[in-house]
Amino acid sequence: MPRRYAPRNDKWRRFFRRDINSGRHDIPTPLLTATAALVLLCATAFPAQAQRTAAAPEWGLQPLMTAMRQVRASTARFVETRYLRLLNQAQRSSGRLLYVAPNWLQKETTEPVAARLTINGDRLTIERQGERIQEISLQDYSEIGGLVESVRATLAGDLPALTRHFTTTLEGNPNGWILTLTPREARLRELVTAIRIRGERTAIREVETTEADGDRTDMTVTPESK
Amino acid sequence: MMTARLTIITLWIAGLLASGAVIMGTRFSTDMSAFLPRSPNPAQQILVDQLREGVVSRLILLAVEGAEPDTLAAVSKAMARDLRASASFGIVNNGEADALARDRDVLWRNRYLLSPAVTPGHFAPAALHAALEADIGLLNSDLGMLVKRTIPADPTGEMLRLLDVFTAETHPETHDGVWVSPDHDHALLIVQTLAAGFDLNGQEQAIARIEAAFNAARQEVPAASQVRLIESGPPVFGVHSRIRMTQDVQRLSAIATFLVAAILLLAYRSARVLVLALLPVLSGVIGAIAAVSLGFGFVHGITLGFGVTLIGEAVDYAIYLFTQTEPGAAPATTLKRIGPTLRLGMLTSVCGFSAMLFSSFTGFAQLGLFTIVGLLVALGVTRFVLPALLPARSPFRGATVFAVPLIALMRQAQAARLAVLALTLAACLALALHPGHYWENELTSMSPLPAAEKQADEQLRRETGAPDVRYFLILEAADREHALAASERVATRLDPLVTAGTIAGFDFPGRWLPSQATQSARQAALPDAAILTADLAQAVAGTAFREDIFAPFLADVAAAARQPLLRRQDLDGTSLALRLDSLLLPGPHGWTALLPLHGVADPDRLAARIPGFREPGLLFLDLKTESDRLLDAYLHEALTLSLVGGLVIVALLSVSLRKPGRVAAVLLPLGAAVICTAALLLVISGALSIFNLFGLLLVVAVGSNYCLFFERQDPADPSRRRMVASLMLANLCTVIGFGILSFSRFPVLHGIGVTVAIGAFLCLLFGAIMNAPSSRRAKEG
Repeated sequence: MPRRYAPRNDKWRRFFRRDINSGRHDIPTPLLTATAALVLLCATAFPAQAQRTAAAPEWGLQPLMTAMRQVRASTARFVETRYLRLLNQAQRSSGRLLYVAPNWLQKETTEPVAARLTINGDRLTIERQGERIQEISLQDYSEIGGLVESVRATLAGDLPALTRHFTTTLEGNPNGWILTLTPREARLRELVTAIRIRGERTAIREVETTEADGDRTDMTVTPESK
Repeated sequence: MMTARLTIITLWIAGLLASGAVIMGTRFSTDMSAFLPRSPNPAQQILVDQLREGVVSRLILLAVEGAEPDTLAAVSKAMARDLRASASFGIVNNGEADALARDRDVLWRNRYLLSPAVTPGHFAPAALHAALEADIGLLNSDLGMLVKRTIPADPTGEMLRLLDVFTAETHPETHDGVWVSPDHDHALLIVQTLAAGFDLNGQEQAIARIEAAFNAARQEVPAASQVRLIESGPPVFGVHSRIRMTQDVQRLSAIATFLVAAILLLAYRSARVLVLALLPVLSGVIGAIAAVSLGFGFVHGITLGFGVTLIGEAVDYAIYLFTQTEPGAAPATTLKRIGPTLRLGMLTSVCGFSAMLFSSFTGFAQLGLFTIVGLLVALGVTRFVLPALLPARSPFRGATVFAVPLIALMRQAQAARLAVLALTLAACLALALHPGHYWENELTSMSPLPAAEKQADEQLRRETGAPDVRYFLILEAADREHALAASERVATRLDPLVTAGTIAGFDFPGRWLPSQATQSARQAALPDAAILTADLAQAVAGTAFREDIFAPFLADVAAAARQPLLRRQDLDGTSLALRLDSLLLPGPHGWTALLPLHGVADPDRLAARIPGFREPGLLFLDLKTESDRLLDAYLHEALTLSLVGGLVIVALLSVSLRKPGRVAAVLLPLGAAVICTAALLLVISGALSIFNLFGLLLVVAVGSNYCLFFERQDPADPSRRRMVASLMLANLCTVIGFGILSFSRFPVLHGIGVTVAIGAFLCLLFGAIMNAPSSRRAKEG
């Protein structure tokens, strides 16, 4: 796994790290990677092709992870709706998600502004309108690094790693489930209250992120037919 | 007679006591910049000053290695916490976000004074509206959650703009929140000491503090027992150099003294004679240190190191006296006989070392004065004090055995002369056919840093992203404000060059602290509360933003319009201060601003543009060219001084010896020895250094003494054997002194030591061979 990278623009990097001032202007370092992790998590699961149909009687997180690990590659369309305190109206964006196991993921926004977020191994690149804004190493962000690593561990079927960073609640059955993740680390919990993932078999259908300030992002995912 | 003796001894002791008193109050320095020139051009002076006293001279780069990245990060954090609590450091930065909180705080609170975008019209309704639309685009992206907290207070994005500018240079990668090397094998820290760069005691304490913090962290962090600490940076070099220099001086002097003493003991088999022989040396060293102290105000460690050679050389005079005195004969008679030769020999030596007095290296000038005074005192003590201490009848025996090898060689003079001729011709050939440079053309070859330290420093610099800048613009102004303002004017001239691609980028002090005039202009560009409220309402209309969220923006702009202007002391403790201080330097005649240029594609074209800036005193500086030029200047000076020194010696000998045959008898062996030594060094090390060059001059200065004695020998004289023995013994001591010096880890001492050790020995051999009695008989017959 390549560990070298060259930071291009430190503005964003510092921003991610935490911002400017204390309290009021504090910017969520871990949040971005939380997002990245989340996107990664979604992507691992959005393909609709169920690899196995059998619903074992003792279904739970472990069998779910095992099932999702079978997915090698997939694409899906997403529509994201953000409800922000600062704005009068909700903001929508849409695009495609592409995933190649075990650790390459791209979120390509086409509307309203072209943008692209790519996770390749432990590197995260964000581009807006063709301009590369930031390339960072996920290793850089201690809280988040652990988060992403745990997602990767999830891809590898390593449930203990996932539960190290989140408390998890799984409801439903293989055909319709909701996985709720609550950050264990205080710093991350100050930013993100909960991540609710709704899925069907190995496909994610919806991700709802609730932030500590009450802002919310809903992402609906539609698998693309081949 | 008795009173004369008493007077002499009293005078001598008084002189020693006075010298001792001077030495007690002497400042000893190990600052290697003494071996940088005294009078470089203004641009070079700035560089030298910055090396000595600038912010760079207080920076220490640290790396911890030898464990898993998690462990290294933990050690880095523990060390940083410890060092931040100490009062010895201005800045302790290991990449931890918390450490940058103060930077961000200063930027945030002063964003309207610092942002170059703040100009009249920046807050007009249309501009505000465009900024708000851009904000919405940002909010509705993956970066949204990062910027949404600041938008109510900073809708025009000044903070983002500042972060963009202020953090443009690359920073190291991080692991677990702290800086690491790209391969994650090193955790990196940068600390700045409060002690000045030249305050080596302060630096030594700071380094001890760092090492204590490291050891504590190693104890505290689990699995860290194998972790190692790498330190680099000018303070570390300074302190380590001093330690090495002290060790070298003590060790080498001790060894040289021991060896010389052993040989004298072997030769004379008398402890009393040994003590007597060392008296002139000791007096010479004490007098020389005192003289340098009086002449320069301080004594350099390297100068003390050179004292080692004085041990080997100054002992010669006593050796000549003791060995050439028949047992039972009066030393005074011997002195009368050999006095003129001793005097002429001493004068030629002094002429040689005098050339060094005129060197623009303070260090060389010290070496010159040190040796001259040392030799004068040693000869004076030999000539006047020793007879007063000696019994009227010589107690000296033995020592003539030292003459055996030379006498044997002189018997074979015919063959040996051919050998010398062949050797010299071969040396000439080697010199003529030498491929490549004759002279070391890298300034770094003169650096006293061991290769391993140099390498570690380069690596740490690369890893911490400290850019190696080659091109600078430099300007000077009467005070800080004028320097800042001038740097801002030049910056506006450079901006188009960046756009045009002539340079990739540049930095200037006004970026980190705008001049008061610029700050005032930005304040004046801020609209008053009523106007801004109205304009903002107009701008928000038609966007998705809620109207009531921008109260923090209105409040911050109103506050910024009234806030006191940012001053240098407001930056204390931030990395902004570090940057500013490395670009804006106080000097003896005002302030100097440095503007480092990055990505200079065509230096000549750029240099040609500078006069067009119409900024008087603005200089374009290419570090590589300057350091090459500096080395060229040193070399040129050293060559000139050596040549003049050599000519003065030739003139002195010609005047003293009068006959061309006698002059040739002295000069030919010297010339052959110098040629052979130079060729040998060139073949061994590939190129000669300035130190070798001065060494060659000293070969002439020292070697001429032997040739003078050989030239004066009378084959019929029964004392000839004693004379030859004394030369052999004196040469042995000289070769020991300089030879020991060649083991020094400092290039200057090593270079001079190895040259003179080889050269002096060749002088003795060649002098003996070419002045062998048979040749003189042949000449006369």
